[in-house]
Amino acid sequence: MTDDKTLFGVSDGLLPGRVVRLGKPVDWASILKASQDRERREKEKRDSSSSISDLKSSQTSIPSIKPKSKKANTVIEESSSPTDGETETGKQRTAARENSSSSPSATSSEKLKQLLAEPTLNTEAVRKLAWAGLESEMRSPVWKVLLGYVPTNLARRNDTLRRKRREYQEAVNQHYDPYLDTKEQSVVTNSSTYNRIGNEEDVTFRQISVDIPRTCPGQALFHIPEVQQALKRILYVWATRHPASGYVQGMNDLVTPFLFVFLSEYASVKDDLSLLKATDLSVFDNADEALSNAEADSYWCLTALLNDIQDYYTFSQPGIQRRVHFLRELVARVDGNLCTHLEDEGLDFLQFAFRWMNCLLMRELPFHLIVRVWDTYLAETDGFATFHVYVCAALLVTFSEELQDMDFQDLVMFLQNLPTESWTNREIDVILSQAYMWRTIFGAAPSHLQQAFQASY
Amino acid sequence: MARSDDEYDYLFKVVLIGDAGVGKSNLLSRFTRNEFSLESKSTIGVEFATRSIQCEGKIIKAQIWDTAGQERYRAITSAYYRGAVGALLVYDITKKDSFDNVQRWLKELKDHADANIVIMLVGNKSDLQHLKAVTTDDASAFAESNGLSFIETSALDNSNVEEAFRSILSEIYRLGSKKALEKGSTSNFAPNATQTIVINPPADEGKTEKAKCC
Repeated sequence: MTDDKTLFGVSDGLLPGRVVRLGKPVDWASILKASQDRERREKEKRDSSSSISDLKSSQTSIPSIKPKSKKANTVIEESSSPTDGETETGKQRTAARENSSSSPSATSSEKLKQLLAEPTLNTEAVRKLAWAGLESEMRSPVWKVLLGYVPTNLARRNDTLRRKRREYQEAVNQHYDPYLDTKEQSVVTNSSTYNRIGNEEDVTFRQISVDIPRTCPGQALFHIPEVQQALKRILYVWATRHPASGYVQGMNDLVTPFLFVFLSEYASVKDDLSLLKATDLSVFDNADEALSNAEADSYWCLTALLNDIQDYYTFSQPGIQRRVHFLRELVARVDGNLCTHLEDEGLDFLQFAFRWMNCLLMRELPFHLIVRVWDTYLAETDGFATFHVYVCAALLVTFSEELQDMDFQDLVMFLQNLPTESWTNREIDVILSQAYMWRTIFGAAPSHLQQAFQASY
Repeated sequence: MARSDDEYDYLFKVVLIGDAGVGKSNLLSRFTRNEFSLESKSTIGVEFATRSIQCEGKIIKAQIWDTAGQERYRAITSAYYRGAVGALLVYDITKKDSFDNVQRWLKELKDHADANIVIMLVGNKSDLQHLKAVTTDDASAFAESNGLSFIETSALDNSNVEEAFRSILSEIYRLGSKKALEKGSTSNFAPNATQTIVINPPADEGKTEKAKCC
């Protein structure tokens, strides 16, 4: 995959999946036939083994830290991918698809639809298309497969969804006492109602309740009472089942892209911004179904995301500290002057980058662009934990010149409120491309940078 | 950022602490920018703002560090207590728990801040009198027995916010002057004072001058 990616023209500001590669004319019929045969064989093979989401569900039901679980899943995924002889066909097929059009974004959805309709998903091909950014309508299905929430096997996808949604509902019934809400309201006046629920859950519930109304304050969608209730249940159930970290402020931010994307599947308005501005559930054709499915799906996807970065949120947040350290190393390498300036001014990276890690830049970038960034993170195999740090470096260095003219105070004020409100995909594409280049340079080579990162584990 | 902001006689580092959701960030934005938002996002880690005020003919610049209220962030935020000469310990007058936790916050300060830090207890959201769960008398008595000053504020209707900050800053100034604060001229303080006061979470011992001031 890495070899393949080095071909991409990132230096032109172009993104991998969007590069149109020239190649020989393609014999579609034979490729299609070969791939169908292969898929049939794979299907047989795969049906006998457990799906990714099965694995995930067994992990998430255990309240313990499994930071590397997604890696394990990836390995499984790869081991069930085509064997050597067949890989060539897969590659040709992907190349053929990418060659088939010179208007990439218009047809990326079409290609994805085709890919998603295949009996066994060609995950690599989907990743490539997702990397360059997805059309709104494709996000929901693509995010679900890339997170390993639904299996690559088409025949099992709907069953899995049904089962996972049922499981979530059971978890809600088990952990989320509707009584909590009434208790929260009576907390001031009547302390005897405390008896039923232990203190720890109480604190968690209160903390989540405090944070819900101030989640994505700019987006009306998240102020619809039913949506807020869904958010609350997701976070509370997650916290209860993951006591090693519990709920940590900022996790409320991290659910919102999922909830938004999964809700959008059911919305009658088709553009992102209109949905974000929705003030009631009338934007959904079937609001009950939309909410309950999107809530369950968001829960499982949040779980998958947090599995990779749970050490961000455990006591003293060691994962964040390591990532910030890595970010500093990276910036020292790619923009030594900036790094020196920041440190000469007495600015510690932790001071501004803590939040960049804790909320995965959700406080730094406009909401609709975060969703775009996540397309790429999900297309990467370790997007949220590692590629994200390269993105942070690229973001910081974007402002290098301005920053180098600032003193300590101006630096802090600037960095805690980056001027990105008017940004568009254009700026984001540049940052992602830059991050991609650095990752290619530093991520692959056993440089001291890489060693520093690994040593910190 | 107005350039005139850089002219000051004293630079005081003050921290805002207290439970999540009591209104720390709004107190800060009200004081530094005269802004208030009912839906401001939760603070993650620490944030920072400054404002200069006049006190007894001197310009005092307050560098105020706003901290996340959740327990999990304590390890990160407590690193910022060092070098602070003042702390506004905020609770929500409508949330009894937030007042009950004041004791724990005092312990945090005792463990991580300079011993002679000036602490002011702030009961915020005084606009919500009908929901008041902590009486002024109780809070005042508590403050007195713990040697804290006390004020009730509302960041929403802007009552007493200015007074709270002014009063703690002038208290810090008076205590500092009493201890024969050595330098008073703008030129001595201006260029490097910022660095003097900056506290980086990892160990850095070059920042202790500020503590001497008070």
